[in-house]
Amino acid sequence: MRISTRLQRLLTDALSHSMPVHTMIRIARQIMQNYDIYERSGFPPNIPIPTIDAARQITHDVIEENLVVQFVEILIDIYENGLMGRNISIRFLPQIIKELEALGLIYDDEYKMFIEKSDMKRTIGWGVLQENNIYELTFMCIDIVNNSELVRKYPKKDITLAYSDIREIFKYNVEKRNGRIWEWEGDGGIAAFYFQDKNIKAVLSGIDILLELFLYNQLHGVLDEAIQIRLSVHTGPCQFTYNIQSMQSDTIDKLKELETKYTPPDHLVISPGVYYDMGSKLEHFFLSESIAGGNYVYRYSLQWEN
Amino acid sequence: MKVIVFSSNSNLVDSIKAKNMEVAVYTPPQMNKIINNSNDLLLVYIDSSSFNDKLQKKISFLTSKEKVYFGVLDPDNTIKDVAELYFAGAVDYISKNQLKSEFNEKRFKRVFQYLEHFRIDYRQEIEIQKTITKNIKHITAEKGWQEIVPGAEYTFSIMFIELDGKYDMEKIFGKKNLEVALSVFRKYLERNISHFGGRIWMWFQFGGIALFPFNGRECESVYCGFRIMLYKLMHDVEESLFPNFISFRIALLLGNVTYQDNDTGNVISDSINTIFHLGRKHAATGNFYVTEEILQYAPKPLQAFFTPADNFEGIPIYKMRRPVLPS
Repeated sequence: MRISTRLQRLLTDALSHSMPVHTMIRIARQIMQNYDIYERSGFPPNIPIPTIDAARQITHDVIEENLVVQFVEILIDIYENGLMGRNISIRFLPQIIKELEALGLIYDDEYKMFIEKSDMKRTIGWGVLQENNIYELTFMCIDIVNNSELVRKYPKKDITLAYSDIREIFKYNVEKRNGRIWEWEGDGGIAAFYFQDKNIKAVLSGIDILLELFLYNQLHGVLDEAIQIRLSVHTGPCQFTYNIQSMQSDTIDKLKELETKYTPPDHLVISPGVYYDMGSKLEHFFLSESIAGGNYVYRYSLQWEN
Repeated sequence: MKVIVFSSNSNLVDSIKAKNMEVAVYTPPQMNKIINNSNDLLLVYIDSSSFNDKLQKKISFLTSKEKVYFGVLDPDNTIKDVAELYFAGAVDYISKNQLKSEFNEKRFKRVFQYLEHFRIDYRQEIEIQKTITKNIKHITAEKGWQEIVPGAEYTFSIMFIELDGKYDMEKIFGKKNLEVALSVFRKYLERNISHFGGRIWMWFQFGGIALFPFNGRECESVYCGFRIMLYKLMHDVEESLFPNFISFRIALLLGNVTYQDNDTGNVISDSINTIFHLGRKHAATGNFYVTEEILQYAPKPLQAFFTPADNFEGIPIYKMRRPVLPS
């Protein structure tokens, strides 16, 4: 992220006009562990650092470490909730937020963090995930059933159109709940969910996709038969990288295993870790099924009364 | 109007004289089922000698039914105070002597004349049936709402939607909580209805009436109602503030209405009366009903999800098969 000189100056001014040096250091240590301002600045430890110099140094280091967004989130939290029981009025905070908004971010009060503006280009890390850091994420896998047969059976233009429609249904319902498509390979793909209620949001997206696909097949399908899909949802840790192809993740491997081994056509299958977050209403949508090793998976499909 | 006699007395049954009129005869145990399953206007005669001590109970049952008018046959002259029968809602009484000579077509017609002249509820029902059975001329609005002028009559898809169990809700959830939850429910409906070119025209706390202008070719309103039902469970989970799964009825028909922007509380319309009857009195909880006429204008693939659900005041209606949770 390219930080403007103006934002850099505003951050320095915000720190130097709002708090003493020891408070600045305490805040800096919230995102940079063992932060030592003397070591960074070269000031001898026995000489007190002037406020403006400390503010400049911290701002510089935060930018160097690519932690500006997280730092401003902490400043907002301190402004709203105080620090160690003390109220601190952070100067220039509205101007700082405005600068970040100009970079395509918006502060989300619900999540207490900056996320990408919905009208801006979406990135797979929401503008928040840091390269090589490990995050708890929820993933959804989609796969078009009998892809090879369909490709053989129908003209290429019909298949292209149909698959493009399925991708649109997938994309719309994933992004509607702030998920991101990480991968799409013609006949299926993977989406990721982060932030609060990520399991619920992934599952609701999955159910929505099945309902939307049902209507699509009934009313708008371009093939002579209904297109069927398999969906699976799993949650777990994942080391983030912008190069998705090179990503190694047991969580994603498990997700794919769920989809290929345990998901019948037109079903959504979720792992126990996801199911336990479903709540008193959503849990009724699923039927449990025991699998090898005494484990369970949970299945949903659209069902009609007789 | 159908005439039905409930009696186990074969002599009495033989005495019925009605060549030009169909009179159905059933045994007393069949009574509740026959009456409950009927949607027609009925003139019911019950034979007091066949019911004995259950007579009062059966009279109360008949009194509670709309579109049912009843008379009492008294082959043994056991009823001491005939006026009591009329106070309970009876429209005819036939004693032992009258049974032989007067239980006939002429008598039935006299009862119909009496109902016509003195029973306003009967006249209203007849009016409704006439309205429904006559072919209503469609007054289309090709361009939708931009063509609609207040004060003029148009053909609309008229949709009735109302939450089930409304009477207990305030007690269960509290007034303020209920208000907030109902406003969320209304937004769910508004969002879906407006997406298909409809508008909520009347709103009464737990539901309302929506109108969709009719272009003469198709009724998107059926698809709208279908979607509302399809996504109901998602609404329950994602939006609804009710702690339980909600249930609501939808009824949909094609009818003519003189559109007005406001003062909808004073609308006089046969179509609106009918949709209220269908939605409030006929529709089973949690279901979506459409008339056969409007179903013809629905997308063909969706028509397969509707099954016949007998007649409502002479018009064939269909009920949607609903999405259900696994059990």
